[in-house]
Amino acid sequence: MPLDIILKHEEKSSKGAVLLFHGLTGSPFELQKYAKFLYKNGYDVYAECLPGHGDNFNDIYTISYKDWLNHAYFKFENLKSKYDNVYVAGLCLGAVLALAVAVKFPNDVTGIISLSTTLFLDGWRLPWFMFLLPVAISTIFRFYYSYPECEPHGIKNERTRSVVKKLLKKGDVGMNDFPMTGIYELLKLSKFVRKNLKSVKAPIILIHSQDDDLTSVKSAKTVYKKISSTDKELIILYDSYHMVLYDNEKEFVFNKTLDFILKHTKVISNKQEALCS
Amino acid sequence: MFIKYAFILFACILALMISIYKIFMQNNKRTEKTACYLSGLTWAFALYVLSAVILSIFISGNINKFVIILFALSPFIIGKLAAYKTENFYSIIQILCAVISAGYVFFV
Repeated sequence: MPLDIILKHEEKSSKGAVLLFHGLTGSPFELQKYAKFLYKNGYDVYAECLPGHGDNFNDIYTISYKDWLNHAYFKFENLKSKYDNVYVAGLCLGAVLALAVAVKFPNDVTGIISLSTTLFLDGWRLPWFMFLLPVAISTIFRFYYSYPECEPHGIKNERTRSVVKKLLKKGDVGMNDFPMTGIYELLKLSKFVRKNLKSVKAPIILIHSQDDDLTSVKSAKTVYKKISSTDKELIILYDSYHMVLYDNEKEFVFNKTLDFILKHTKVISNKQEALCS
Repeated sequence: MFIKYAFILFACILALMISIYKIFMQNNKRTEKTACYLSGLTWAFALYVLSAVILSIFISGNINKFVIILFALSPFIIGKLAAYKTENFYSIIQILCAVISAGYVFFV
């Protein structure tokens, strides 16, 4: 089953490209609606399956966060050679990867859209024995356990939640659990990004829910505080959980991020016009 | 010394729990029973490391202290070396390490 989403306009009619990254154990399917929305508004959208994700669920046990990084860097460099405006965006692990790309290419990224950034695993849904996580992921134990995907599935809206539950049962939207090895690699990636946040200079919009069940708003606040970008915005949602692209405030998120993209696309066009004249 | 016997007990429990998991439960990863069992296994790891650290403070002799600290760090060293394809091999190493550490402390 092809999982990648590539939505391209005819040559020269596109305003720019948006590189989307999905979350841990997810798939580009979770970004489908958002990708279509951006495409309708004139942007080419690229959302491809991250290494270790896809049809073979065992692949996630064999990858390292460096595979995710190399994938993201390669895709970004490829797009940058074709477009003037390249935005990086992501949800959860994808948001961390978008930040990693901005760390590596501080002057080339047009803008960053960071949704439910997962730098810390400290959401309210996590079980009370989460304090044992450092022991679990640092030992051989991490190959034994997979944390099951459970209620509320990162979604506050009950109707959407029941649809996602059915899709998860079918295996259409990603895996049914979070293997500890995946969590281990995510935390290593988060550590790498946290250490290098100062290198981020690109304009950024951070959207995070106050009631995020997986990662508290502390992650977004840390990014906001530590990056060097002067053009930065942090928006806190009050009626959503982790999956902000599917929850009660999805339209607000769609429109707010589009405004951000349009604003910064215009700035670059003006620069080019000024250079031409 | 209480901590000595506590360490031996936790080392034996750890070795036993890993063995039981690998022999009987590995293929049923997604059941609730396995999840409960594995949360117990995490506790076994934590208690093994904690008791080893405490024991290293009270045990006499610098060599003994060094060996016990090495045992305390062994789950992390083994965890660092292990990969998906070598997981079975390193599970056996972890079991052996726990058994040897229990024997070592018993005879010291």
